[in-house]
Amino acid sequence: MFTMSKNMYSWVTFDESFKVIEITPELLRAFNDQSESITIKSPEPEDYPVLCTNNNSYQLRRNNHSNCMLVCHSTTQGLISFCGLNSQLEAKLVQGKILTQGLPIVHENGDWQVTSKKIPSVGSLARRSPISEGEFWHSWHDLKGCEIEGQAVILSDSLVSVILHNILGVIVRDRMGMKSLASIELYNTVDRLQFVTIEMIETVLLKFSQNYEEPCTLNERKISQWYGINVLRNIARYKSINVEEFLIAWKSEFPAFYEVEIDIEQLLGYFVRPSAGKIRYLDKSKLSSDAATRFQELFRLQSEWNLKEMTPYLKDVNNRNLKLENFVMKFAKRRKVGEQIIVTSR
Amino acid sequence: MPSVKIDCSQLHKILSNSEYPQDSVIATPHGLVVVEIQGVLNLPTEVTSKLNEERTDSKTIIEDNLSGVLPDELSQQEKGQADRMAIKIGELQFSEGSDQVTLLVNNTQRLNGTVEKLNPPLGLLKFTNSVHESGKQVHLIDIIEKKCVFKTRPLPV
Repeated sequence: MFTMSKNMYSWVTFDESFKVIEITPELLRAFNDQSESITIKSPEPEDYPVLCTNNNSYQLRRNNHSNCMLVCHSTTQGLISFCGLNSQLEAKLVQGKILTQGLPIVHENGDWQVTSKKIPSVGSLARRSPISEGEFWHSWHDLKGCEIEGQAVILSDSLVSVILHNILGVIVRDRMGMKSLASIELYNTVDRLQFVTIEMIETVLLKFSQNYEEPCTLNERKISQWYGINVLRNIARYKSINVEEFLIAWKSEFPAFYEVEIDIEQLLGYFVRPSAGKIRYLDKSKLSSDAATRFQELFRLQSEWNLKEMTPYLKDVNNRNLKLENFVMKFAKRRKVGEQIIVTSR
Repeated sequence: MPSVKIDCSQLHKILSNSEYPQDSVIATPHGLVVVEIQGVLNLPTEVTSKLNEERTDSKTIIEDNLSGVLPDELSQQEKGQADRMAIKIGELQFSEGSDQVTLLVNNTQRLNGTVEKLNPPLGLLKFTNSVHESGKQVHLIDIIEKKCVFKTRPLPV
């Protein structure tokens, strides 16, 4: 066996401008692909930095280790180590987020609060938010984001409802169908309020589309869910209501002659069942972010849960991504009734 | 929120150029070698007069400027800086067709180790303070897929 030997040297003071990052197969593909634009976005002080490829966001966390890792380069004199590392960056795939804090909200009457603070354009918001460009445009329209006079704004729920209602009315009236819809076409035909701009129509169209680009194909499940949540919030926020009564109210909200399937399962994560046959609106954002307290709150509102209906309320507190049934066992009891899993408090 | 672009042009150059050797026992095609030892390697923090005396005779100390490691455009910026002093710490021995490596430290201690495949591989990033015209501030220097690991206690030579 041919043995080789190389002198090994080390810099007296290491270069601290080097870091190593763990490369997942997806990241390796991105690094190798010349069409990918890869950036590291520095965080808010309390957040981790985020590495963004064209379509994915990765949270960067520094993992320290007690070993000393020397990185050397080969020269004619031997190997020379120029940096000594005792940590490496771990890239974890996450859902990027848009920094919507401070953006004005446009209300149903077209008013929006003008603040002295400089409002960014949508392009600038995309660059500064810890999210990849591909994800940004999907999330931006889901968040009801729009650009007015070069400023990024958020449309209020009531304004979105008014515009959506008008769009659906025109689709039914002109028998346009749900496919190949363009905002310019709708802008010219919708009986709109004076202040509604083509950008607002585009935002609503893309929010409820399947394909996130024009021409759009509307997703009817998203539309019926939107109506359902609004009706539930309006009539069952402070008191419970019969399920049948609610379904009638939901169905009657759609524009005349607009036929769409409704199912209470479309609203999972938005209601509780305080007693048999009744439902009540529940705002998930008002619940505690602590898992144990979250379970207590849920059982206070409903003593017995079907796991399927409980799941949407647990996803964000299952921080360690445990299998859901195992996660539930840590805080509650579960039993099987036929095909269903019933969860009760301990 | 500030953001910096990662420049991957050096990696693309390495992958597309067949001149880079692909079959080295311990090194990446770009010639980088990673050595991992448990604990801390105690090195002098400055070049003392005693070390300076040994400098010419035994090549205990050499000067280094990372030539060939950094991308060309970055090397120009880095060349403004003085060469760094590097001190000899030992000798690395390895064999073709074997994953066994030996590190002799100052001819007094012997560390036996192995060449391990890294899973996941590691990317070496260089962060620069100076903002380049194109706004590039972070450079992906290389992808490291193996390292020489020394897990055992040192033995006498």
